[in-house]
Amino acid sequence: MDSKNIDIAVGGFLCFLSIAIYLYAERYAGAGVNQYGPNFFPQILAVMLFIASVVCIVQALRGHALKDLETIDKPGLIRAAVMLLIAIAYILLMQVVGFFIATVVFLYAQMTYLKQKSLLVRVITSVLVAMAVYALFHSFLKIPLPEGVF
Amino acid sequence: MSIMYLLEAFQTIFSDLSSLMFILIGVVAGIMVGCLPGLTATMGCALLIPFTFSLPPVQGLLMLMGIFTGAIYGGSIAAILIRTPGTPAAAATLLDGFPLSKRGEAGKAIGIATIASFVGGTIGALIMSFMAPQIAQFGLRFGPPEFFALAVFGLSMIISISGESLLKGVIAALVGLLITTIGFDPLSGVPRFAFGNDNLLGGITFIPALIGLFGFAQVFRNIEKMGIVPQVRSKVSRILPSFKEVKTLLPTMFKSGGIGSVTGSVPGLGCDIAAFIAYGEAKRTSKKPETFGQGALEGIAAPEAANNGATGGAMIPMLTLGVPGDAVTAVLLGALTIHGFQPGPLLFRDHPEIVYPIFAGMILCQLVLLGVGLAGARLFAKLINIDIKVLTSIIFLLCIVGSYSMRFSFFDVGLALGIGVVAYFMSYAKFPVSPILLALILGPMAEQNMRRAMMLSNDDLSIFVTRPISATFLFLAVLMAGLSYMKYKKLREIERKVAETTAQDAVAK
Amino acid sequence: MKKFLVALATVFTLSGAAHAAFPEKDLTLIVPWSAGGGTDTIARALVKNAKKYIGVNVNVVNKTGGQGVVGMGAIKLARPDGYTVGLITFGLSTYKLMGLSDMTFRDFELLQLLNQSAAALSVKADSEWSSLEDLVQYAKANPGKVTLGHTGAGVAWHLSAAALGLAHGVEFNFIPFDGGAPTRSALLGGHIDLAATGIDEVKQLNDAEQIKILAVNADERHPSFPDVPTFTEAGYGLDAPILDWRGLALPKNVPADRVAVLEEGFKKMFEDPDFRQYCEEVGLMLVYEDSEGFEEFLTNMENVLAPTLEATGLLR
Repeated sequence: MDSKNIDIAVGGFLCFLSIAIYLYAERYAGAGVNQYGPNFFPQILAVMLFIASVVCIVQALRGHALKDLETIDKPGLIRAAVMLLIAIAYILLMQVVGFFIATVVFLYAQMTYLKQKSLLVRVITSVLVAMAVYALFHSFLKIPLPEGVF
Repeated sequence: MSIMYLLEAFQTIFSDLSSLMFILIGVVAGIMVGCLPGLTATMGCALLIPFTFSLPPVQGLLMLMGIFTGAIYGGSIAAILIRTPGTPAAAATLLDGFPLSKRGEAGKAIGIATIASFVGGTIGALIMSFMAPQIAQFGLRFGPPEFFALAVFGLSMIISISGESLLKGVIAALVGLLITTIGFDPLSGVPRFAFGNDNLLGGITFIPALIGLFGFAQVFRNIEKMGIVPQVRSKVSRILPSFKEVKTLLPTMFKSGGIGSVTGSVPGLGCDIAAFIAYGEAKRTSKKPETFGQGALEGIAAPEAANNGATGGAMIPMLTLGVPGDAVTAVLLGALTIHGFQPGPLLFRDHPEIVYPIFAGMILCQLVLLGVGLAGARLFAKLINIDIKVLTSIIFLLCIVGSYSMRFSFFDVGLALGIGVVAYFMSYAKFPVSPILLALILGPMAEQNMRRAMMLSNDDLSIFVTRPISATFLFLAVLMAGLSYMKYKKLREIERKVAETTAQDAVAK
Repeated sequence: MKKFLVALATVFTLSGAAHAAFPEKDLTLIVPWSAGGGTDTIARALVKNAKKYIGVNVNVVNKTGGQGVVGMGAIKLARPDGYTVGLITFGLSTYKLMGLSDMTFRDFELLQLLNQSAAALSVKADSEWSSLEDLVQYAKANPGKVTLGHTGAGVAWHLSAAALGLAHGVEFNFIPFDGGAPTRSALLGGHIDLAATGIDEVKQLNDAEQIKILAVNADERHPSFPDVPTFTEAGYGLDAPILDWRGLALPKNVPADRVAVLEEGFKKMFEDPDFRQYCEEVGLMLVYEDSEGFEEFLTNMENVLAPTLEATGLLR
């Protein structure tokens, strides 16, 4: 997508969003003690956002949009998406097997996926970093980390 | 008279070297906490209060103040190295710190941040020691209209940090402001945009949003670019800034330190707002405003001097009025009461044996910070020389744990990841992220105080211009917006001409 | 009967070899308010000497957000093994009434009441009013002119002041702030005429004679403020005072023997001389009620609150 289409798409979405917010905020009207109730700010911001989005679309149509957009690297984007999935799996795993084990697995999985070649580096980093974070958060700062179901 | 007390306090501290040791421990622990995204100065102090139970009150407090100072400084290290402010106070530092780091000059950036923190912090500590009562009275003159005017003044800085497209900066800020309206409205008791979700009732928590906007977005970018863009390595030769560079920055540091101290002393404003105000001011008065955002040294010196200056400033209302200047001093206030001292107007009269060591300790904290920071800068700067595959994995982990540990909530982790994905794509569509951050900081302040002022005046808008402080800030906001807008236009003009000439050159060739 | 069961359970825990000793690891105390605030400080002071009484440490964990809903929700959903104890506060009495959450005290296993705080109305030291009488006379003559700052809509102090206005036909201009500290600075800075806060929150400023406390909304005078009259003594009594409260609770379904251990352990911490002294210094009124008394108090509180919330337009 070139910058023109992106700006039109984003502007259109924000126009829609600002209308939705304005209408939804209407239900808070009258809950305050004066005319500047809880609906005042969201609604005035929604109006401003609507205007700004329309200007954004108009500028894009008139060709004022910035031309030089960075291109997203396709394989890179897929890589980032997979890493996000690994992170989500980690968050779920943590609640089953507990923080420490999940963290070791998470770090190892990430580095393996990113093609860190040395097995030794992967293993040692995973274990040491997990231990350090666990010691700092759990033992020193006493932040409750998920213990898992065991 | 207070000088005598102060000297006496220094004597007390030096007579027992263990006090110095506790300052050192505090500062180092603070830097560690501050470095880690998600662990803020507030949390650092709160989590370590139990350790001070067993210590004599003065030493316990010195350690906590060490943590405070260290953490506010430490936040900048993460901001510079991994584009994730370790604490909100360092949010303005990343605007110029990270570009420098990308050029391999992380050491220099950290060095300047250290020196600026020292200068600003010392100014703050001195102002606190000698002018506390007067400053406290000034802070009290801020009522709802003044806070609103100040928030508007702060928001006028959006122009300064919008980058290439002002319109997109404004859109980003509006979205940020709308985000702050999510959650329970303390003025009317109405839950807004919570959709029955308890987690949303409290609003979007600031720290996970911060980690998402910067930390996760940067992690995704690193992963995407891995293998395409070569890894940045710190230049080992030029690790610290030269004396000459520091000398030219000194005026900025002094001014920003002063701005920071005064801002911090107004109850309700914190180190983060102080840093942004100083950044905007430095950019406005700079001879080369176009370098801001590209790695300008002033752009690091100003916010760092201001946020550490604000640490001293924030202590002022806490000690003299018993009203905390910000969240961290609220924790320190709690610590003082647990140790049996009630901060407030009577503290100076009843307990000079604790007040003056606090002043002396604050000054000593800055010296220790300078030593530790400069010694550590070389080490910190080399951190980004770790293999990027390993480093990215670790940063990813720290961002996840950091967004969790604010409230021990997986909802916050999910939220931060979601914001991270949005922020990642935003930068491709050329929407700047920093205005959202500024909006998140200033939004609640603007909204609540505007409505509060309207309640005070019975819907009479003239309250904003008939009160001197409020009128001044609103005037400054308009002035600053106007001036920055003109500068911004001029800059874009120059850029366009440059672009045209290069294009013509290309055609000519 | 309850006492007997408790005793029985205690005997079982002590003698029963089949039962593993409880607690065998540190406890967690969830505080739904942020670190450094009033509630947090009390929690930390309470568990300071925990090891002496219960054999393990108690770690305070701040789970904040949504006017305490998030933290109290976490207490409710915590694993019912007795290792997670929660501090519950006044908000719990209002959530359902204000439509913030369906949670009430009935979702918890109540442990004990810790304290009750009464609302105080204060003015700046140089104010023209020196008694509640003066203030009410002025406010009646100038309806809506007196600005009254409070710490947030639906907080006990707001409702106390609102109840006063309702009962005696006084019209204030209510200005909500976000917490105690901003309210105090607004009063000191002269931005509001009158502040409704917890009486302990203004002790320091009162001692330093920077403010005057006109009256306190309680049945009896506060021991730390013997000169401050109650609303009734000042001539403007209310049927039942709205009191802020804090207490301890567990999630439902914690084994009875463990509940008994915790009940006893926390009662001892509550009676610890260090904690008592701390509370006296900060002007905090400690009130003990066992789980039954606590439940009765909370049931009663809901009945007191509903009409005031309705009148202030906060009832959903």
